[in-house]
Amino acid sequence: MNEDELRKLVTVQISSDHLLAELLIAPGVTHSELTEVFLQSILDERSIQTSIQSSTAIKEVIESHAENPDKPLKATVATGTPAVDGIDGGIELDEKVQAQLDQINHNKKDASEEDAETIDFYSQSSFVIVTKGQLLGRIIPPAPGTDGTDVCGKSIPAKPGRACPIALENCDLKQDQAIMAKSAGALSLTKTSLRIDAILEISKYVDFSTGNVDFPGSVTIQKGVRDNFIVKAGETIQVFGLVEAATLCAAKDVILSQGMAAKEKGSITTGRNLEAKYIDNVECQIQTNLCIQKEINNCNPTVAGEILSSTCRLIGGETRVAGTCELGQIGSDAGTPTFLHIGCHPELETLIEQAHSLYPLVLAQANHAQTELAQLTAAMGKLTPTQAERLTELQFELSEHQNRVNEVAKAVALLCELHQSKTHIELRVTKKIYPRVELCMNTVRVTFKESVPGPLCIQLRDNGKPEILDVASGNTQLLSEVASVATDPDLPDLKAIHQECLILDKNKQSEAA
Amino acid sequence: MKIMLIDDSKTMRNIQKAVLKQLGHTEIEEACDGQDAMSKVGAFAPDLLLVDWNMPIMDGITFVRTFRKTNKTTPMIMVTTESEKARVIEAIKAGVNNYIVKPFTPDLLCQRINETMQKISSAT
Repeated sequence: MNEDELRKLVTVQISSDHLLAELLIAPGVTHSELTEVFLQSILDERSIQTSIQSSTAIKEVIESHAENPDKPLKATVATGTPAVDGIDGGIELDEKVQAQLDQINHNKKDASEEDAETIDFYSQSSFVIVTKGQLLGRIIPPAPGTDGTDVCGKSIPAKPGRACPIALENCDLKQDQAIMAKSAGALSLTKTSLRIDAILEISKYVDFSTGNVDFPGSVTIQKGVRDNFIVKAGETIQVFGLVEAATLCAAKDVILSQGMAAKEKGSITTGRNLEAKYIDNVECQIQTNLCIQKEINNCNPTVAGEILSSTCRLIGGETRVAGTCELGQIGSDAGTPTFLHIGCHPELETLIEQAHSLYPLVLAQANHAQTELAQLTAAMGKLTPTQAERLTELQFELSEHQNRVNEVAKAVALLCELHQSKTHIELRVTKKIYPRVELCMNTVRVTFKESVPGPLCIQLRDNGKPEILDVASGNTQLLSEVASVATDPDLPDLKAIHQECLILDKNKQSEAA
Repeated sequence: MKIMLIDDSKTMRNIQKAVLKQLGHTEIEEACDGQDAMSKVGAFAPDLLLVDWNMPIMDGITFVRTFRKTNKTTPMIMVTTESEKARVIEAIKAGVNNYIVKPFTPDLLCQRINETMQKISSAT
């Protein structure tokens, strides 16, 4: 067979991506015609880059052909190296943040039956909350990739990774490309942006879709808060819809555009004010003022500031307020028992009670030490050194006890003064006080058996007796003329306690002088 | 102000320490006898010393005499059960600036310390 005929039977096939070269040998070629030199020349003609592997492959082709010369033969004789494309730039999240995101994504999927028994679905938050200065992640630059080579030795260029411009909001980008939170807040992440929201806006209900909320800034809830959910905020909580039997806890204000129906299970704690249209069956701890437009129904609010709710009905429950109390009406037509304690600061009163209860104990210790010292001094004649030292010890013990007595008296007096500065006894009612309303002021307990129309103002006279002012006529009379007034020995007489402590302090000072 | 308490009774040192703390003094060093005090006084460099008389190894009066050989100015208060006039004179001659007889009240200790410090500061 001449060479031209032979070249028609021995050909090279290159794949479309130029990464594979195969030798094809049709039947009819004799073993003597198929030499290494001939096959190499075929590859050279097609500019295929050969290597040791190619030489080995050529030898194997020849050997295979020798075994079956009549069969068509196909063998790979060269391979290229594919290009490795670059990686696009982006954000690599910090492990902690990534773990939170993974958890949220996991929570969104349906939990298995096994999970359902063990998971607290209320506590599954759907927000990534970060603290100020927290490492959020790192910006990763694009990677260029590695070029490849085809079977002919030509370069296959790799696609370089693209830079991904990341918009950062409320974040700091450090020199080492670390992203830090500029403030505490909720993390919001897309492929091209990373943002920290200082205000958490929840467009729906706080329910199983959000889980409990514990946020360092302010929280705005467009709808409501469902039963048993907890919302905690480092600043203000504002809710536009209804709050059910939930727990709201804000370091600043709680503002409810509607109200809260707590079914005796919900509570509100504020560091400042509570504003709402109504509250129903709620336990409240308010550090500043309580402002309710329509109704406080069967609630137990404790207010360290004032109640400024001149259009509001206070019906049922037990209300305690430190400062001035303005209400529309107290009690109801149905004669609902309603308790209101004004000029009352339970937190301080508990402290005063605790400190005052220490007083007899430390006084007894001081008296005991004094008696012991007096007895020893009387019994001893000329003192031995040991006795003298023992007497010094006793003197010291006595002095310590006396100091304690003095410190307790001082602390109680200070607490009483603080109580005095934080409380004010004044009740203003615009419409009416109904029967079965019970009012406490200092040690006085007032029970209303008949309705008393407003506008009226109740205060304590200097002699401690409550008086009522008819705002319309300007007439004042003793409250005992329209309601039952009695001194309640169970109510703490802070004035008397304060007086007692002041006398003790004075005595101590004159002793020292 | 740095104060050194020299007394073999830990209880007495604790009492003195408590009174001094009430007066606002917190830099306090303790020694259990005269010899112990001699070994600490150089490094601590106190501004006032309260010295007991009767102590083992080196008693208070020996300590005062030894200390005064090299230090004429740092005030010292003798705190002791030795109440006889002769003893008081002996201590004053040895170089103490004030004298407290046990038993004493915390108020008296305060008073003596203040008195001594005032005298020293008005003298300088």
